[in-house]
Amino acid sequence: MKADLKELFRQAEEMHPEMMKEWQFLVDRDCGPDCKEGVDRTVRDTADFLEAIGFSVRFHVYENAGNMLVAEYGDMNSPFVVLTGHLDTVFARGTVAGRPFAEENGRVTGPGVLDMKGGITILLYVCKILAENGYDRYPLKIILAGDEETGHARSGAAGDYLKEARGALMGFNLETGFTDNRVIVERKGVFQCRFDTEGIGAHAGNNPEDGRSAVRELSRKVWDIEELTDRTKGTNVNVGVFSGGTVANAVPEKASCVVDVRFRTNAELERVQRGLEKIAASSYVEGTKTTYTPIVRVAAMEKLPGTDELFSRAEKAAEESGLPPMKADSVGGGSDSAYLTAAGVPTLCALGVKGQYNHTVREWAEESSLTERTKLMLALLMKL
Amino acid sequence: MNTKEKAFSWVDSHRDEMVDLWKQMVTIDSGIGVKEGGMEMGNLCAGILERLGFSIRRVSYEKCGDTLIAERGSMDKPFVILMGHMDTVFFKGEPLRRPFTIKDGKAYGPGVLDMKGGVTILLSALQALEEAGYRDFPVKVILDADEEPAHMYSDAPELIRKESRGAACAFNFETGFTDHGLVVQRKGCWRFFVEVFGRGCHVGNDPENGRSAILEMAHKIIEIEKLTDFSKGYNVNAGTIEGGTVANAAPAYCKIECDFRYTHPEDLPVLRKKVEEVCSRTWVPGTKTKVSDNVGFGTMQKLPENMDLLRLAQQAAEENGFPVPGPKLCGGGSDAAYTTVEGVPTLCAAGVEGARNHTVEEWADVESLFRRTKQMAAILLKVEETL
Repeated sequence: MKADLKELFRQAEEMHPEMMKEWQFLVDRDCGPDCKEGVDRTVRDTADFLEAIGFSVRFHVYENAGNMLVAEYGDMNSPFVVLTGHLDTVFARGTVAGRPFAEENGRVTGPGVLDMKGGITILLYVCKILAENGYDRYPLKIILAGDEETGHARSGAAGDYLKEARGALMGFNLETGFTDNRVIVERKGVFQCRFDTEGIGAHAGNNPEDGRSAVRELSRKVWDIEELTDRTKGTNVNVGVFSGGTVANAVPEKASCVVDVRFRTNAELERVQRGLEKIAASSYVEGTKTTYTPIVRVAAMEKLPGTDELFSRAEKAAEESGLPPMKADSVGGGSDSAYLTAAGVPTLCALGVKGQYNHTVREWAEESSLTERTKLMLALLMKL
Repeated sequence: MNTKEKAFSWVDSHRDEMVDLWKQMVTIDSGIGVKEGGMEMGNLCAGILERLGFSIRRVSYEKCGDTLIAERGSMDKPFVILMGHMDTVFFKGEPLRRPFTIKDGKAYGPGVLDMKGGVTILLSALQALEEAGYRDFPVKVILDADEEPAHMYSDAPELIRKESRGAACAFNFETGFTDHGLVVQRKGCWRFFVEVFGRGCHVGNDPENGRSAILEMAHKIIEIEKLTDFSKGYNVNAGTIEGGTVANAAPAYCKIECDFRYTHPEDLPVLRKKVEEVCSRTWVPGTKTKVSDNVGFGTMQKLPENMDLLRLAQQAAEENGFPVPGPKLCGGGSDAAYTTVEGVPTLCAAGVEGARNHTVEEWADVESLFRRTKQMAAILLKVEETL
């Protein structure tokens, strides 16, 4: 490859107007959870873009959710780098018509402008610049999901992610960037479930001895549930809501609670889940029965042994290239990076355009971060 | 025909009229907080009692119907109290949704069992005796209109106590039981709330700052319910719980409503103290707990004379071929608490027989309306002999 990083930066700057057009094109199409055809058209258009610059493309097709695009460049038998993101947004059909892509005073607005059509634009142009300059340091694999916002609940995308990521050397997720340049090296996972306990109702005055209190049973379980908390491992188990009974003078027949689990490693979630299942299966008040229903499960983006090293190299690469200094951070709130780390791939997340207020009408992105973050990605892929 | 036979014969020939009166009462919407319905019930009952020669006093309240005190004869001599309540536990509009109906010998509708059937018996027994030419016994009728919410709108408990003084005996026409028993004792009920104030936090961002009100309450519920001792005749129930708002926040607040039943009035202060002791302990540091009283009922005391009165009722049943009522201890409260506390021998649950009070499945045995009216007429004739 002849061009140096400086030359690539120059090309990135030159492409800014073209990138803005691509960004607008991506934002101005409804890609919400109720709009599979919009997501799929964007998957197709994005595939065309990558195919035109020499990538070979494949699709994972799902019946009830946006499809997944996989695009490859180079010899995939050698250790490769994954660039990833998602093409869907949280906004319902019709949002674009009322609130299309707009730019004012360096701030860009529109549905998904930050989360994460800006990151996708960067990803596409990084690929374009590298491919056009004959990039040959690593093979590249692009994985773009079509149903991240719904947690892949209606597709097999989670499993496909794991398969596609396996064997990668490192991964970069162009998710929502932070205005203070934090780069995410770890995301806690979230698991939520409910317990529904059924006892035997009775009148508290007339036949209390016939009653089997669901409230008492679940109260005792609350002790055990909260005991699963292990702060030394970053695990927090919280019984957030508890309700039961109908009137004071009846032994309560029903009680339920909702539990939230935050965890740093997926092994911890497994431990907690085993514990919760055990708690549900046993009973203290004889004659009560409890069912346990998982509601939400977002895997943790784990910090792997290689993550710190990846970050410090990235930090150095950014510094050497005259880009703003980065900070490593751990946050709550999931992303698809969890599947990369689950496949054993050290990953940096939140490398997309910078801005604020995801998932709201106030969502905005910093226009200048489009070029800045394109340069950062070029620096990482050229230097690491 | 003797007086009793005449009274029985009146009942036999007025079955339709009695059912009509019952239906009229069930149709009146005297649910919780429906003052105009309570007033309407009072007017209906007062009209009938006036025609039977009673003089009526009314005590009025802002938020519920009047309490009626109806007297006939000299109150200077030992008199008989016939009592009950005219309200139901249901909310406004229930009689429209679920009007009085009879199917296969069972009557349905709001308050059909608790206790509009009993009020019908009370008035019908007086009328049967009147028609039989028997009216020379001093009798006081007390009917109130906010028994179901434990008299939170009136001073009926004090009023009943005051009006009971000097009475020879009392009959409360509350919900009858299908085993025909009469209640000689009722448990008291202390209702209370426990509130725990913790500290909320977002579980993702700063879990270590949370102080879970739910976890604290979970400990207290177990400890409070441990106070139950059936062998001592008391039990406590945490009946309702509400805590927290969303899964991902440590719950800052949790509230339970408890119901403590006790047989012996002297246990109440001891139990109160035990509850307060439990609530003064803290399992989750940094949480605070508050105990506050809710409405409740005193015990209907088992006076030895209650059993004498029961024997009289049993004799009346035997002599007339009715099922013989056994003595019952009942867990639920009633206004009989306030006559027994004044030492007035009392039998409760003299109303129509049925089951499923306070639910939409509430039903009453229609035949028991006639049988128990006759039985009460027979009992009143016997009581007169003992006065």
